[in-house]
Amino acid sequence: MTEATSTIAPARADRLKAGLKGRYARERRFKLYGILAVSVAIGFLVLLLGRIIEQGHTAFYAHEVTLPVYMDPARIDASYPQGTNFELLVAEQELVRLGVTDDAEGTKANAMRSLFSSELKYRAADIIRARPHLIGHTVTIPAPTSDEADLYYKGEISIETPADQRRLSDEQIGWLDRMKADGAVRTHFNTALFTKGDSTEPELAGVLGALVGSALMLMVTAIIAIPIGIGAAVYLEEFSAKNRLTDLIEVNINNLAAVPSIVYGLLGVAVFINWAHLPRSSPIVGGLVLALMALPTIIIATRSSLKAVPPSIREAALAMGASRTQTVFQHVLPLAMPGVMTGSIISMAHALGETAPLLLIGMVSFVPGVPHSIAEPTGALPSLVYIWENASERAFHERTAAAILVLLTFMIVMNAAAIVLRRRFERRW
Amino acid sequence: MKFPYFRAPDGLDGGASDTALAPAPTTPAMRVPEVTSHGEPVGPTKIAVKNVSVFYGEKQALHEVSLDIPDKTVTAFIGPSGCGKSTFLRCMNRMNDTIQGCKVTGRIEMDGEDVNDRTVDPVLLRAQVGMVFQKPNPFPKTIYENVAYGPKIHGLTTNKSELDDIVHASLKRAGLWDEVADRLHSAGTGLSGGQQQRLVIARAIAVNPEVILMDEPCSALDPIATAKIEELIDELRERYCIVIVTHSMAQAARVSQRTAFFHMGRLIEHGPTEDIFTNPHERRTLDYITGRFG
Amino acid sequence: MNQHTVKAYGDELNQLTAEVARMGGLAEAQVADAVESVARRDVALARAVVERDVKLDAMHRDIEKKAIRLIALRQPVASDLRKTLTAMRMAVELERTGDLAKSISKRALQLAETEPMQPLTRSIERMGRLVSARLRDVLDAHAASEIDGATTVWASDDEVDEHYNALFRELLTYMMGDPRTIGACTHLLFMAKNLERIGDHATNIAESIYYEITGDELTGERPRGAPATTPDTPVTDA
Repeated sequence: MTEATSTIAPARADRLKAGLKGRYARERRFKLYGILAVSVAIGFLVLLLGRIIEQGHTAFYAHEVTLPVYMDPARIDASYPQGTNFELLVAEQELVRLGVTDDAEGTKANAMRSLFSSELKYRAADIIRARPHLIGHTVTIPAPTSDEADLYYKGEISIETPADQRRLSDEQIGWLDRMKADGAVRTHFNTALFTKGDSTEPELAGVLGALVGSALMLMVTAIIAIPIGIGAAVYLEEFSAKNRLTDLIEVNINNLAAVPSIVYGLLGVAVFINWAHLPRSSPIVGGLVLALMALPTIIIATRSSLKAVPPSIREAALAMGASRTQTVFQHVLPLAMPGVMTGSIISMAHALGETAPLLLIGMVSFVPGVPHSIAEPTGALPSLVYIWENASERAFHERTAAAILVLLTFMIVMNAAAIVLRRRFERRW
Repeated sequence: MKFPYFRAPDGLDGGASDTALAPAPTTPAMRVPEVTSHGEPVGPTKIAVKNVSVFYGEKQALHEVSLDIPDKTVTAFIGPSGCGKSTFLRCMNRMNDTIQGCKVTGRIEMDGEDVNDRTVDPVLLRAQVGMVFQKPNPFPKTIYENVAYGPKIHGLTTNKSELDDIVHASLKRAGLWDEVADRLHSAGTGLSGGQQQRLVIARAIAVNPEVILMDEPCSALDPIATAKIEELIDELRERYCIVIVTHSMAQAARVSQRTAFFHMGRLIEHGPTEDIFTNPHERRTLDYITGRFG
Repeated sequence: MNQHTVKAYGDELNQLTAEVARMGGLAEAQVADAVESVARRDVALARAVVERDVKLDAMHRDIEKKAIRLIALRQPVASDLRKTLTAMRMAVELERTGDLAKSISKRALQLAETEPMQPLTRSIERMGRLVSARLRDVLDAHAASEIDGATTVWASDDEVDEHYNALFRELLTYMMGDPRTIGACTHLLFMAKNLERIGDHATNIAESIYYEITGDELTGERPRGAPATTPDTPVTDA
């Protein structure tokens, strides 16, 4: 008998050892796959971000040319400075400085003029208006370049391309080079991007209008969706009887979360704009549509947070003689708060980036300026990205990428806020 | 709304109890044979259970249980897993109401009032009948707020100093005051398991209940913490009617004055603890306590 | 040693020990009174001893019940278990001691109706005092929980045996000398035997106490005196 066992034991040990090799190999392979998957994901992320940053970083600075401008009293009316055609004034003076003679129609002056932004005339007028005594003197004005000149300085427009395929003539390029060689060209941070609303002229276009519009819309969404969502989830999870009806409701809510967002846009158009006659493209309509979209997500996140609260807490509260309502609002909900807040903030961040419904309710139109109320038509960041991407001017290319970066930053900030708030609440309990 | 009174919350040196003596229990039809007492004094009946059955949907978990539970005494429910003792315990403060599909028939009379009556508000009932669970479950609040919760929601105090007194008295009675007096405003969940269970007991007695139900209170605790809780139970029984469910027969023997043995949803035998553990009448009881089950 | 966390448990154990001590006191008194009733031919005292024996029996039953209850309900272990078992054992020994004292008293009643026999009753008295002292010592040792008293009593068991042997020879001689005294001497002989048995019970108690305190048995031969020998030549009574 002992002989048999002594021959069995080593065979068993061998089998174990043989199996062991395979198991360890499988583990190593699995780890490898995991690392590979993570690397691929990170790679794509890096690729995407890198591409956007590469395209968009140039939008954050702009060029301006410092020019001495002689405020010709013959052409400037002290009482009405903005009537003066400063652009022509500056262009002609610059031509003179560069030693270029103009023809009778002033085409060269026009060409020179198109190198500067229309912002220039406002700046000059402001200066004169503020200090009228400067009329008759030479004033150094930092003149913002036009979008094409700016692009040339950024290297987007190159002299290599054939003349008929580019917006700047050889002559204009020559002037730009000379101005640069004179040392008159400076770069500065493109504040216009953050302080101005949308504009047809790229160098004057900014995201502020869309930013405020998005913020207003988000506010409306939050005020509507979060209380309703949390309330509905609390009712469904804690108070309602568990029967077929509530099962049906739960299934429908889960399905709603998967409905394509453009359907919500159609709903918004049909109900809010056509039937309720709310103003088209306004934050209130956008907010309502996004609220509808965010509601299922909030309900689902809140319900799962509530489910995660251990039943021992509920039992303890009930056994102390707390009513159902007291149990839920004094014990269960505070404990579920981290999950609820995370769900709410993430669904808000999600709603922030939704484009399709906004396009349908009319946010694809051009809206200049910065909105002041939720009832006036505004733009939103995602739709701004869409508009700029479709714009013809070349300079909008970089600005689109910049707008995407702004949008991404907004979302990262919101997600970071979610994490910070969650940590803070988790620590407390 | 029936089920009228609370005892007024008393300070350290307990107020007089107003509990009227319950009327002598009538013998219901299916009374289990009682083992005679050996001179261990048994208080007046606090809870009279008459033919209580519990159904979970179609399944019957308890069959026609009748039992008298005396006041100022510790009554232990023992029996194998799934015998219905916890279910029966939870009938007494209507915690079974929170389980969907659970139906309770029969009468459970506390000082003469049937707690299953439709007019009885379970919220008020649970202020009279406290419960301690198997796993200590203090609220995730401070120690002070844990103990103060009951008096606050039932409106038992009018100002903060009264509340302070109640918290102090409850913690002292639970034997926890000396250990936590300097950290009343730290988290209740930061205490050890045994301390948490004593905190839960303090919380339960802060509303001055008449009855304390304990569902395996020591099963999650180490022997020293268990011994401390058992000593506490021994002290508490002078003021409260205590019912304890335990799967440890040794604990039932140590802690209780009366024991009831359950099996498969039926009450097999009940009587003075000493008699049950030295000379039980029923064969099944004997088999269970000597470990011959199965 | 620390207190039991559950005070009721500690109280119950202490109560049991106290009961045993009370019973021991009573047994001690019984023995002393029995011997005295022989020495002084005190009939009332002898009767009192006989009647009091019931109390000892009741205490024995009570201690047994308490001990069983303690074991069933408290599941004592280690020193607590030994304490409980010792209490039970001691109760048995003390109850038998009481019975022996009662027997002595009964015979004293008989003896009181016959002629006094001073030297012999004095021997009985001496032996009785020795046995009483041993009983007292061993009960004191139990109360104080110290083994030295117990081991001393255990080791000196031979003293009692010597006394018994001497008395035995004395009585035989007396009986052989004057056959009219056989009746009374037989009573005295039985009394001596009872006293020797009481001495054995005290030794048993000493062994129990040693076990309770140390957990070990008192091993080794119990010291015994030489067995009683009959005298070869009859002692003539002058």
